[in-house]
Amino acid sequence: MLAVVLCSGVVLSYWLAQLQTVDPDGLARAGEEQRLTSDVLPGYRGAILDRAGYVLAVSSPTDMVVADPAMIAEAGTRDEAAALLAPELGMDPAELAEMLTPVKANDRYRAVATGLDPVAAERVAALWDDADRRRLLQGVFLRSEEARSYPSGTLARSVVGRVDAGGEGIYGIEWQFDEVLQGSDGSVVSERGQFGTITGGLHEVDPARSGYDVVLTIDSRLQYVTEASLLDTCVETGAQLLTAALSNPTTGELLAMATVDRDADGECRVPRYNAALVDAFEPGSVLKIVTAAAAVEELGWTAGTHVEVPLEIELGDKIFIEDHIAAPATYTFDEILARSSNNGTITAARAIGSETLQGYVADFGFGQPTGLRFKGETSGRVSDEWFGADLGSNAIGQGPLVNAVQVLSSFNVIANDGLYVSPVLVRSRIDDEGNEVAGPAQQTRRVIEPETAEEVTRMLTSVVEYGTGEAAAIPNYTVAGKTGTAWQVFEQPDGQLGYGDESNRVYTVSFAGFMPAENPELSIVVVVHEPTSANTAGKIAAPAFHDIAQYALRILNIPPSGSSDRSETGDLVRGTPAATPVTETGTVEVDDAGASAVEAAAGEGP
Amino acid sequence: MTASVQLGRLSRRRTRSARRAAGRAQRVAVVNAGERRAAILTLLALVLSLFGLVMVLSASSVSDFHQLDASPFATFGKQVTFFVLGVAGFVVTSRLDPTVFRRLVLPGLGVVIVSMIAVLIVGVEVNGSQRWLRLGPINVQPGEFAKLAFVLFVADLLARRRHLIHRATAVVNPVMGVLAALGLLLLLQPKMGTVILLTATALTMLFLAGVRLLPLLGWTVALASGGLAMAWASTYQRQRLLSFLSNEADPTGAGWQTIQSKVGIASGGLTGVGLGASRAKWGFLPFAHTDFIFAVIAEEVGFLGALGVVLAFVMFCYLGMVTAMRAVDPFHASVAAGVTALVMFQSFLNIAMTLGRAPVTGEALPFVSAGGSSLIVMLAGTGLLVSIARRSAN
Repeated sequence: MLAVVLCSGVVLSYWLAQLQTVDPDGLARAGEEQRLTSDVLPGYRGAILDRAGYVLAVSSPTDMVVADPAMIAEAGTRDEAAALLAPELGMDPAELAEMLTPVKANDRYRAVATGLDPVAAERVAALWDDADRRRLLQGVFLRSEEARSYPSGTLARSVVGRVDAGGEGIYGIEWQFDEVLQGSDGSVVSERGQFGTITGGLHEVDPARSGYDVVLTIDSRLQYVTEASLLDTCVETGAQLLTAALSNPTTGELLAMATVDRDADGECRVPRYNAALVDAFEPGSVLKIVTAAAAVEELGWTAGTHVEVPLEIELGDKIFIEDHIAAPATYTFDEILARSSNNGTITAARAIGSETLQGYVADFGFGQPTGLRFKGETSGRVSDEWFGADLGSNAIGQGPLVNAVQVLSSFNVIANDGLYVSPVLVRSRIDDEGNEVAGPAQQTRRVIEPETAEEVTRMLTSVVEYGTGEAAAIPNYTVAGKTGTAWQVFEQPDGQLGYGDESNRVYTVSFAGFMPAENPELSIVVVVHEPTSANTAGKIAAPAFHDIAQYALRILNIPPSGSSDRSETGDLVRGTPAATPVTETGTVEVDDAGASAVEAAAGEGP
Repeated sequence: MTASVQLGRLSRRRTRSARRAAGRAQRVAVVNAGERRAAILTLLALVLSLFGLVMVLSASSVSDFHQLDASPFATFGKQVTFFVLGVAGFVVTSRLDPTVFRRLVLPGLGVVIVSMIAVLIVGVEVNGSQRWLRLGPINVQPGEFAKLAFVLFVADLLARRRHLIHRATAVVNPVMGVLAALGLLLLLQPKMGTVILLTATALTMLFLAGVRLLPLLGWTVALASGGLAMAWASTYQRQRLLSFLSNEADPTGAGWQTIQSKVGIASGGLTGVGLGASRAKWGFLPFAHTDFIFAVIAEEVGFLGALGVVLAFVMFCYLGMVTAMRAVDPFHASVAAGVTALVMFQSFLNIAMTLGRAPVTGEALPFVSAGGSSLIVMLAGTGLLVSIARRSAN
């Protein structure tokens, strides 16, 4: 019997040892697998902010109710579930019951209600507290989801973009910066049994990373007035498509970028696409600044240089006709720009030469990517080799294709003392700990000498003072700018592409410029396609430029020409002179802002 | 070397080991060998019970708290109470000469049978079987007390009829008759495990008392096949048996307990996951603090700890058997053999079950598993053993 006892002990020990030390069936591993559960920690998509931190797009957690109609049908609790849920979701029980009914074999998913606010979600969640109700709610689930919202509505929509139902960017910055904005989900791996998370068990947290916030250079206030002005212009001029962009010429930062078009019903609206970058058009005379700059730089011409303007210039297979004048005339060079003389400009271009001028066109950024890498952005097109009439066409901006931001950047070269600064739309990104990371370095290059830029600026102020751009003038500010009235290529009645004739021309009118001319702080481009009320830039684009500029100067607090006192800006726009408080003893009491005004006045003299 | 010459197989072995023991006694020998066995048996029972309390707390607190919404100490508290009662029982039985219980054998058996009938009528049903009688605040399991009553009954019979030991009708038949009655009542609960235990214990006692092998073997075969047939007739038992034969075939169904038990044991490895850190008790292993407590032990304290428990039982049974051999009185010898056989078979069956080597029967691990009746019966039985050891020749 003792042997039996000992043998039993040996047998048990052997079995025990085999299971615990050899574990032939890998049961320890199997046990681990059955205990390990992984929960997703959502990483939220970053926000899109304007330059001041104003929220343009933001993600927030919300809850949704989803159902498994097949499971509900199997449980036979459809009507009870509908009756329980309907009041909490503010739905009709019959309609809800309908939603919970399978419509096909193995119908396993129905989004019953999305975007529940926290209060509603809590009420719905409370339904599951009760065991009986829990049974009736089989196949109904409360899930959390991430909702993307755009607090500013359609403001800057074409720039900001949108996400699809799955939360992925489909256009705009949302698309371009999808990977940056997108957070990465984390996870919690823990050991869990039927009685809950095992105390002392494995607990590994892979933290979720929220996406970067993307800070744009856009100023929401400027964006708003730009969109509003374009909408007005759209209504007033009957145009089909309008776009405008504002920037700081020194930094290249785009302060606003707006597009307005007409929907299918002919109503003006802010569309999804960003015409300022996506749309290529023939710019017309705004491109003459390149020829002007090249003439000053290469030929030593000045605003006062006299230029013969012939009635006709024959180049290659084309005859360029000057239609503003009855007889050949002599213009000063600034008059050529002010009156937007085609043949005067072509004369200058011929003196410069094709190859040289072509270099300037490229240096000013035309036909080149802007560097913004905006999704769908066009680089435009400038032909590589110019034959025959090409020199003339390019000189007057008829032929090359450009986008509005390229035009703006070329004006920024003039405003920025001849330095090209590539435009920028994203200022920085902010990680989920609040650290700000600046955007990529901008590309800069010298295009023309500062003196050249100064001379061209002088000529461009003439445009606004007495030329085609008079409507762009703003009291107390020296505005430098240039009109552009271009014919667009379209399909002719005979099926060929062409500019058409006087009876059916399609115009694109534009105005680009900067201010104050002495110390430019703001540059603007406005492009209006197919206006019907008039067909010249001076009548359509220049007034729109004026509207936007007037608001923008006030918003940006830019001091008027001849003054460096920002405190005076508002007064000047309101049209009342600044009053300096004078005490009875006759001494002048000034505040800090007033002091600089006095100093400035003293410095500049009468 | 006195009155125990006629004690069948026990006496024959005794002479040989007695010589060895005598030599040892001469060398060491200030303390009486029986006293020493009694002390070690007491110590083993105490250590196993106290370790059992610790493991019951570990294995039950999670389910108490998370599943029953009770205090994590609810089961533990009850078990401590039973332990105290069991120690009281131990003190009584270890101080008295077991012979005094001979007069109580038949009344005791009667009370057990009556309460087992009562169980079938007014018993509390837990997990599909009706095994408990509600007595005030506690539930009593008459099936556990039947074990001790049966051992005492058989021992008394064997002692009284030792001169008729070779007449099957005089000894084997009455034993089998009572066994059949108890077995029937147990199977109706159902409690197959106890039937197996009682049968094995009875056969062991009869064998050690010197009953001829051949009729015993006949009985053994008959009982085994009868038991199997009965088990087959009951869906509940059949499922358990089938799941034992291949628990991997149905891992989520009847084989679940065995698989989870083995998973727990395998997870323990050599040194265990640490006291209190069992994963199996978090809802994977049913009955973690009762029938499957050995799995939790093996998981928490590893192979080394579990081996210690096995060795403790081996030592206990070894000393129990030696006590039976050295007993001065045939009744003593049979009681010691019976109690030891009970502990041995039950612990073997339970541990083998947790290792997936025996079918799942609801037998507790002696001293260790939660369960008041079992603990009290085991401690009282140990008391009898200790008392017998003290009264043994050397």
